[in-house]
Amino acid sequence: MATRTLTRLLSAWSQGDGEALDRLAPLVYGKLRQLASCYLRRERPGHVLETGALVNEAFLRLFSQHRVSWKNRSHFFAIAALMMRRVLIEHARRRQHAGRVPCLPLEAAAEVGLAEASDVLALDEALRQLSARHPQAGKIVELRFFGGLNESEISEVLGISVPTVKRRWRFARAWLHRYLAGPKSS
Amino acid sequence: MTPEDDRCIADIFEQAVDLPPAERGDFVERACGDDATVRREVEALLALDAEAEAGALGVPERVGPYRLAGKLGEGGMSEVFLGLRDDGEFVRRVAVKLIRKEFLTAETMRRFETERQILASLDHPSIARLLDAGRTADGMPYFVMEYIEGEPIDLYCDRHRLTVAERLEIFRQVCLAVHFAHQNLVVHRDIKPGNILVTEAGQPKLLDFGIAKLLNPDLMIRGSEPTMSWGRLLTPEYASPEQLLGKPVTSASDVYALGVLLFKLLTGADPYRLRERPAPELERSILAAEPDTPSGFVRRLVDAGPEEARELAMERGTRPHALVRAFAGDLDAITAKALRKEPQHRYVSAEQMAEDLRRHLAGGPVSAPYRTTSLPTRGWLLAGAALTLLLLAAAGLLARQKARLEERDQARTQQIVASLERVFEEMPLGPHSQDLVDHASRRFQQDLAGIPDTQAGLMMSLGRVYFRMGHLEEAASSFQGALATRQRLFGVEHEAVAESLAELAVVEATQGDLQGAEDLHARALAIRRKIHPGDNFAVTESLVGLGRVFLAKGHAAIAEPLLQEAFVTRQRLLGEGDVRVAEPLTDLGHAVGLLGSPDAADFLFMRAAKIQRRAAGDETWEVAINLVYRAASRVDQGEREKGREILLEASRIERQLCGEASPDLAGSLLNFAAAAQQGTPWADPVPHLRPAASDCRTPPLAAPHLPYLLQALGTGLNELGYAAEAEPLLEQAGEIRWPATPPPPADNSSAAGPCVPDGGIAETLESHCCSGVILGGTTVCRNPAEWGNSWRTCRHVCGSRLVNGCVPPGGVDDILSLTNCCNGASVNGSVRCLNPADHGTTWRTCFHTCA
Repeated sequence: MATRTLTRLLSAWSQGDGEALDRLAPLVYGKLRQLASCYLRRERPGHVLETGALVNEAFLRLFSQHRVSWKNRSHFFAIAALMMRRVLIEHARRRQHAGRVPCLPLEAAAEVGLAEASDVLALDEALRQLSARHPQAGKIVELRFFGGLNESEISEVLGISVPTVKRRWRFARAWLHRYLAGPKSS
Repeated sequence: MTPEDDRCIADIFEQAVDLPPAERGDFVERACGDDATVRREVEALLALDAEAEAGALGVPERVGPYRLAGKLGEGGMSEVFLGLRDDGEFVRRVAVKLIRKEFLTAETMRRFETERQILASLDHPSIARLLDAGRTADGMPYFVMEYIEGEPIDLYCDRHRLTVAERLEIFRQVCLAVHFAHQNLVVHRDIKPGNILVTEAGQPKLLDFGIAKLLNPDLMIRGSEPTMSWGRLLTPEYASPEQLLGKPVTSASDVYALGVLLFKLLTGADPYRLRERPAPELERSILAAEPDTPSGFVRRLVDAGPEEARELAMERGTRPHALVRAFAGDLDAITAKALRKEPQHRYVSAEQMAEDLRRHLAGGPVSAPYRTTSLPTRGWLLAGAALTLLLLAAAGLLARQKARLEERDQARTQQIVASLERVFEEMPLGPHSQDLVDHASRRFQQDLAGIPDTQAGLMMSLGRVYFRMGHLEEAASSFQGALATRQRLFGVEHEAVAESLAELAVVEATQGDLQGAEDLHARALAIRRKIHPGDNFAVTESLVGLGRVFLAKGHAAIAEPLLQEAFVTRQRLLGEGDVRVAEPLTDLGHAVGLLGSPDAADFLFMRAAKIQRRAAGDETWEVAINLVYRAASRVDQGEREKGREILLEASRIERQLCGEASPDLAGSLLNFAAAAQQGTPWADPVPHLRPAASDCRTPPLAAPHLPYLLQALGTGLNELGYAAEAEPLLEQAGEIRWPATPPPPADNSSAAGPCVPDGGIAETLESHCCSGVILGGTTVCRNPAEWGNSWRTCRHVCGSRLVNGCVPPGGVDDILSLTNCCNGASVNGSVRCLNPADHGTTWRTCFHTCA
């Protein structure tokens, strides 16, 4: 697919065209899965998984960097975060069935001291719980953990201010710590 | 807990974190009122938040004897702080590097330790020095480096308005520092302006060996060391092709990055941006495109943005035109050598690069080879011409074949057979030709089974007739039959076997199977070399055949020595004036042109045309063809008017030879169209193209060429805006070339169907292209994955030439994942392959993955 087409879809999606996402998603998903599986094959103990790097790689492969505006770039990363999450969960499930350790810890999770969430499936579950109660906080974590987006990119994608992103991120982080460490009751 | 509670908790938390910690307790108490659940929850979350914040900022106040004061930078898994050591008399400033707490794993510790060791081994005035190392109170490892107060080299040079010579002097010191590291078996791997600070005294300092690697000979051989740390992204502008491909990184990769840096210091830009064509994906450019030259860059800048050019020159204390003059020659050559795609063609060491710069500064000769002009940015006209040429191999082969048969005069039977062969080969084609040849084929197979030698010879003749009629399948099967018989009779090492292989190769090339053609030509060549030691004409035929296939595949660098050998040998065997010498000369012209010497190419084309003129007169088809090539090369050089003149001459000859509606004429006219497309307002070629096009649609005219021609015409019409007329031509070309297009193999990872195009990796790298055919430099592709439109042109993407290739079945992703993958050619009997990951030049054996 031509970069031009991709870029157009991306703009369409960032302007609220849901259909564009339907067409973009499989492409992004495919590319990410390819890259991720390539990386996961080489995994070694002691490594953490840098989803941001993978997403960036996917971006470089799908787009001509210089023709995509910064805004569109953020939106790409937002889609990619969603897809990355799916890719990793799928991978973890397969491994779990094979009786192996589900997955590598995420770099972004380790960074905020959530290294105990080394199990992607557990993290996914926690994130699901968080999103059910605090949808935007859940989204922020997804973008950051799986897409490697920074605060200003998140602010762009979600249409909220950077200070709000910061505050909500801190809330999400504390919430996840509590959920993952404590009793799983509400 | 209710949703209402959840909202409350989040609200109160978010308001509380904005307050100073001391005020939070009161605030929460007030906000929560008597809701104990909410309050307990908010307090717990705030406590966790405080812990996390402390963790995120958790930097010790002191490290060893140093007081930490502010972060200087962070990268990957570590951070660098300014450290102060108060000796009482003066405060010493240092840079302290620490692993970020959350990354404290065995792996990061190992990497950190490697970096420390590397720094400890490098004591050089242009490398930031290691001062101290140890562990913090809570056991975190750290090390202490010289604190460099300076600014990145590019900014320093611009801000101080250094002249070109002054910039080169600083850059030379960087080269020597890098060389020093290499001598200590350290590859930096991340050379870029941000990692080279220049102090106020003008001393450059190389920093950040965070992803540097110790060159361990064992690791190099195994090649298994992951070269690209996922711990950080490469700086793409400075990454060498081998780094992007995940291949072993050696000191040559640093030399490459130095080349990029030199380009940047000279021009303020990087070698792949700001080209004439639309900015291509950087990574693809690094792998495929030729880098710009500093002088070329400035020259274009003068045209495109005189203001900008003046500013650029001013920052270098001079004027734009003086800058162009200063760069042209030595500096163009030096950057080009450092930026070569193949590591082995770069400077052997950074020191050699420094030495060349020293010689340049001293006015002496440099070692880097000059190029007469910058490489053509659009090799597509030439590349297209190369493919056309390949198709023409057929005609030449037939003629030579007859000559050879005539020389055989061993027995009467053979005379009769030869006569019969000629009957077929010279047979005028008419409506009943096919029936006749089919019938003869059946008869020979039945009646001549007892004299297989003769049978095989006649099958070869029939194959040639089929080929002439455009029935490629039948031609191939006739040649294959003859080949099998001859192998049975003569064994492998026999000229007759080589001959069958060579002709089969031509058919396969015409069918578009370049890989198959390459294998067959290579086998024929191996046989011929073995049975004809010394100068031999048959050997040169195979050399030419193989050379053409490589040209068509875009491997000009491989084609060149083969064609050179063919030319030299023929010259020795036949003398300069023989028309057969002109043949490899023309091909050699292509190779040289593709390799970046258009003037040399032009000279070779002219020389070939001269030989042909003398041998056969001015108005022959060969002369016309050479003219078309010359024209193409001129147009590529931007000399459109000159190209036009030559093309006019060519089409005049063609018109005389073939009449107004000749397909060859259409071919030249197409080149007109292409040139017109590049902005020269030539006469509208469409009136000429149209009759030619309609004529071409009726086989069997020019049958083997037909699909290519249709493709060319269709593309030409399309580009000129006659899409409706182009469509049926392109459809027809597609039908001929892919009679029953198999469904694309299922790509299990992407919704878009894969499509590895004929041209290979150049297209594959760009995700959207295309199962295409190249002619006249344009590729038309029919991509099933394309949404909406089925046919499209993608000249820029597919038409670009690439001196590496060898695409594994899965396309470029396989290259990245299987470092050893290859799509090998048989040369001298053993499977050897051209591995794109080796950047197209290394021939190596790889039985495992190819099999």
